[in-house]
Amino acid sequence: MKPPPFEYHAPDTIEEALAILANTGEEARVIAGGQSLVPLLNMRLARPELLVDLNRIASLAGVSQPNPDMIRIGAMTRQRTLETDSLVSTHFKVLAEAAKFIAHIAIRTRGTVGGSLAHADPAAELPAMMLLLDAEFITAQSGGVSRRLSADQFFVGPWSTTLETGEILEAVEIKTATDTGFAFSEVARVNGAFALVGAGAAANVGRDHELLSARIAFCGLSSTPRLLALPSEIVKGRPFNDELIDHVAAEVWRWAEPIGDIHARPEYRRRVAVALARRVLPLAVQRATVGATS
Amino acid sequence: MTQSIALTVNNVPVATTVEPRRLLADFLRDDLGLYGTHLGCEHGVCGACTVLVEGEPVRSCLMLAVQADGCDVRTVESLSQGGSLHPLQEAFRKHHALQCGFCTAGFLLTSLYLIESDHDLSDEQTVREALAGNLCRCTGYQNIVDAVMDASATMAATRP
Repeated sequence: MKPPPFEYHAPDTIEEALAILANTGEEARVIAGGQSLVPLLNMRLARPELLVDLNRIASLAGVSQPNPDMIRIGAMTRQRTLETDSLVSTHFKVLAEAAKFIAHIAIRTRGTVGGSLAHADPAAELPAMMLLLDAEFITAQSGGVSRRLSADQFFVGPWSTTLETGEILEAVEIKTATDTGFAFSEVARVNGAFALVGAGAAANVGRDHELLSARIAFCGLSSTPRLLALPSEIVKGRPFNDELIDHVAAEVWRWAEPIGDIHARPEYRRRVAVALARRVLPLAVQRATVGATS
Repeated sequence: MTQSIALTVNNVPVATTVEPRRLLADFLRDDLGLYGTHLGCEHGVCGACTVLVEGEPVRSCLMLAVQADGCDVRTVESLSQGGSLHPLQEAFRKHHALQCGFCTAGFLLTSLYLIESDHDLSDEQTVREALAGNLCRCTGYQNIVDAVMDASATMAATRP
């Protein structure tokens, strides 16, 4: 099958793109990396009247550090860039770790960070990572309107975000977290396949490398990315040993509300979530550095 | 409603008009007669349509030809020079790494990228993971892996 006919614009600026979207309304769609949209076009599951291509808008792409405490990732940044960019490697290597699980290299050379987030596939790694990293989602609409949303405010359901008609995701901003240790891992049927479950962990440790706080974000487990902030009565101040890991595993088991589909039954996803928690939390703890205040 | 595009394909400048909905794969095949690039799934999972755009592997079934305006595109036809096989093609021949050949162009360009970008191809497991985005229904992959590892060593030895 081939895409149905559509009008096509490839503006150079965000303002132009937003103006076209505002004028066209519901019948317009944006195309970023195209790795999710073009399959829909090829199968004629999507029939937009007009496509606004964001690939020529240079200001939408790139990783920057607007101030020492923040990393900004433009929405049109390629997923492959997360694997090679030095700012990402320095501040959030876990994003490179997670990006390697996104499909295959040939997808990641075109697929974008913003596209993955706006598409909001329940199994996608980047939505869960942005939830884990407490990223701020910056949007743009015509008329200079911009909103700043948390991940919870952004993701509302399977393939569903709070982006309004004519609104695009412009960038995400993440506060740097030098002492926090991070790790990500995933279980999929084969390399590059959609995650059955993926988990990213963040941990902070005290002077004796005892756990101060920890949280784990999951993709593929539910219809949106989900974050488990481990209750302080379970983790705080405790030595990080097998007994603590067992407590965490039990908490993940209790907390998870797994979905079932043709790929996996809910109870399988629950088991995988626990197995991944056991895998990523120790890694995150290991990578954490003792903070100045603990 | 067509648009003008100008790009370079296998080092040859191309200037023409296309409908915006024209996929890069179909443009290469039907507009330029470069039928080496194949379409297996048309949704990005099989890898048969893989070409190099600006030196990086891309699913040509998921890119619009208009998006390749101004780009440098390389297809499987660019590999052999003056009738001689590229070392990668020679390795595929030597190791019997193809049967029907439908997936082969995709494997060749993915492998070319991996080798030329100094991707770690030293052990079989890593090679299998790196090639996981290309599906083959005929060979069972072993000969493809052998060919890629052999070509990687050969090409490293002859790199300036």
